[in-house]
Amino acid sequence: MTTIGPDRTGERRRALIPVAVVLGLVAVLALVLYAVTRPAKVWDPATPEGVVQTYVTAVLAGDTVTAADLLAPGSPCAATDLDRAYLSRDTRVDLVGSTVQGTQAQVRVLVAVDPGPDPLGGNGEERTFRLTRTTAGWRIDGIPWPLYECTGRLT
Amino acid sequence: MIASVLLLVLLAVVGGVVVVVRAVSHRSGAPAARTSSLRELFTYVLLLVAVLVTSTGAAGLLGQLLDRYATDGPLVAGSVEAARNGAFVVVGLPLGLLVGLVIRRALRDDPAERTSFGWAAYVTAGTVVPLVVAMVAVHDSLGWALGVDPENPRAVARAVVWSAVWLVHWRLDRALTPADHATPHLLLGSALGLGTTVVGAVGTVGNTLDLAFGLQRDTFVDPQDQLRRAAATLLIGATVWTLYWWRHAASRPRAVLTDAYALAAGTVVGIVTGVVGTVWAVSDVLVWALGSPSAAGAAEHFRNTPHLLATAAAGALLWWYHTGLLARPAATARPGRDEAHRLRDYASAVLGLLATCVGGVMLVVALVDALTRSVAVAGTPAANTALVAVAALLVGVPVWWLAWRTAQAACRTTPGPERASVTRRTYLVAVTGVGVLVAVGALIGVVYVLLEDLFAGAVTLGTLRSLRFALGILVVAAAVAGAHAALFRAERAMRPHAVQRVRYVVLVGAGDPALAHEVAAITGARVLSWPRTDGAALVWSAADVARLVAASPGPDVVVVQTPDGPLAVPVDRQRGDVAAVTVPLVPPGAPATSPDGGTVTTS
Repeated sequence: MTTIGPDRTGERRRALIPVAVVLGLVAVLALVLYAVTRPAKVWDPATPEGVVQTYVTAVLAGDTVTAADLLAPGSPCAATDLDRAYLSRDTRVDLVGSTVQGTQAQVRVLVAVDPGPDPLGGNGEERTFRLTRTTAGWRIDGIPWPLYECTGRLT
Repeated sequence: MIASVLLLVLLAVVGGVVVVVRAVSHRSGAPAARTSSLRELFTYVLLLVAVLVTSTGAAGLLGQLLDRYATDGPLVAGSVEAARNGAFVVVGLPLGLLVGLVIRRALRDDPAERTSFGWAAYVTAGTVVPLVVAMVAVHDSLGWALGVDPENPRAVARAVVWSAVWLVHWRLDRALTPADHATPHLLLGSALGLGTTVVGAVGTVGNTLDLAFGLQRDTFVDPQDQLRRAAATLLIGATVWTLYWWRHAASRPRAVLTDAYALAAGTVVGIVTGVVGTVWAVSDVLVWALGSPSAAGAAEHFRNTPHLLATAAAGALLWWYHTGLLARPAATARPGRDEAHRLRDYASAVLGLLATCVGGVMLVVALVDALTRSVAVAGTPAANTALVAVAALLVGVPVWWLAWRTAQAACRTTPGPERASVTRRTYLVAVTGVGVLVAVGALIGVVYVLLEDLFAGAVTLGTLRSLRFALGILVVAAAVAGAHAALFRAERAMRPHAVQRVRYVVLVGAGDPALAHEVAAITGARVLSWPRTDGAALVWSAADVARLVAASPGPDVVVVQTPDGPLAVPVDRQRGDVAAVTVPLVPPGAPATSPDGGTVTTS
């Protein structure tokens, strides 16, 4: 078999390069987007970090009863206080660190609202949760984020 | 960062001043600025937006990846961040590639494109913006690495992505932009690096001294952490400054922008930093030795002193290094003292005068305070105020005197150009004008307080006490305004009448810019020089031209070189309605008709 006309195989191959690059970029982007939208790591609810994670997730979902169940028995706050709290639905909470000393624990988190307006990365502020070990497990003490004052009244 | 931004603002201001002064002092031979089309500008703006948006999205996605898989990850995360960053990349990347290909073709096909305003603006923004973001991100990452800040994978991602964006644009700039068009970019980067270096160096030296002497400036911050942060700032600033200034911009010959940079960094920032640091440190020592310190012990009283001494030293170094840059010969101007040297001296004089005035005002305040001490309930002791005033005077007077002595020496050696210079006249008028305005404001304040107490029937010693600041400002401002007004009047009277009469000189056929500068310096007139295009090179003598101009009745003079020597023709360029006659285009040989119906003969 003979080929008639100039051999254009090389040109065709070169023309395929941009297509391959675009397809590669699309594949990488899809993979990255899949990786970053997977559910966050679930911490053991028996640990201070796990309790804070459950509490914050419930607060952001509006499930204030579940969140209030994680407050320590002597806490001045109740579900009605959480009902009044305003939160942006774009809130992200990162774990900064935690320390456990006997029956007391501290969990430090960074609360940020996305999309952060600062391209230099200055958005977000650090908050600390203080926890006490009770018979039911770790429970959150004091007036925890996102609350600043509590009435403790259930009605 | 704040210091860098301030330095950039100052650079812009001083650059503007230098440009205006140069434009006013000699408007000859400036090439017409290249105007770029609106379409070209929008193309570059579009590319810049695409690059910034894509970089933000890519850095965000990489940050999320590192946050999830290199650390413990977020406790709670929504989908908003991923959606935003994904949208940035999905839209920005194809847009950037498309516009980038169009611009690449334009740069390849048209060499003039590389010298266009659009390209220079794009490549400057495309390097400086990523540089700023990368510097902050590297600083945050180093904070994490050194253990002073919490883990910050997003900062690492920003540092990686924005450094890459900066590197691509830096290499494009080096490869494509002609050297003389790259100066703004290099100077902006140098200013950023220098500002960051100064902040980092002051913090490093200050915190090291704090640790050495057992001082603690901030009660709630560990000096070790402060030292690590400052060292990181110093490292980043020094790297940027070395690359931008030491490796590239420093070898540039003197020009408007490099002079503006040297004046902003050396004269303005250097003197302000040095004076503030020194006055504060000296007043701390004086108050501790002779006054009534409020602090309980020396460690508390001198807790700021290491940082103040470091600030003063940084100011002195800035002044010494950048003032030295102005001593290099300029490429275009004639050797000797030029407007940049005058700006250096008169700006230094203004800053020294300002410190002196502050000292003078506080001295009056302390005097009135001491006289009316019987009605004082609480406040800073008069002796402390007086000692701070003495510190300001001890620093301000030498700074003003050294600069003023240089300017006065130039007045003695070359009185004509110095007294006729725009910078000196602006200095005298501005200091007088600002002094008068401030004095009027203070006088209104004095009269207001007096009348208020008078109408209330309560003019007491307390009235004089409440007037102490207004009185101090009034006395000092009036003295400064009076002295400078007298000097300005005396110098105006000294200027020869003939030199004042000629406003504008056109040298027809003289192509040497140095000659125009020389004639302008001698006559005080604006000089325009038109070079010959037929290659004939006749010798011009600046002294002969100046003599002819001085002898001419004016108000403007056109000088033509003839085989017998220069010929000066007095003209009046303001009376264009009489001098300029429009001649209609007519066939050769036919009589031309003037606009008023008469006949004009053309030859």
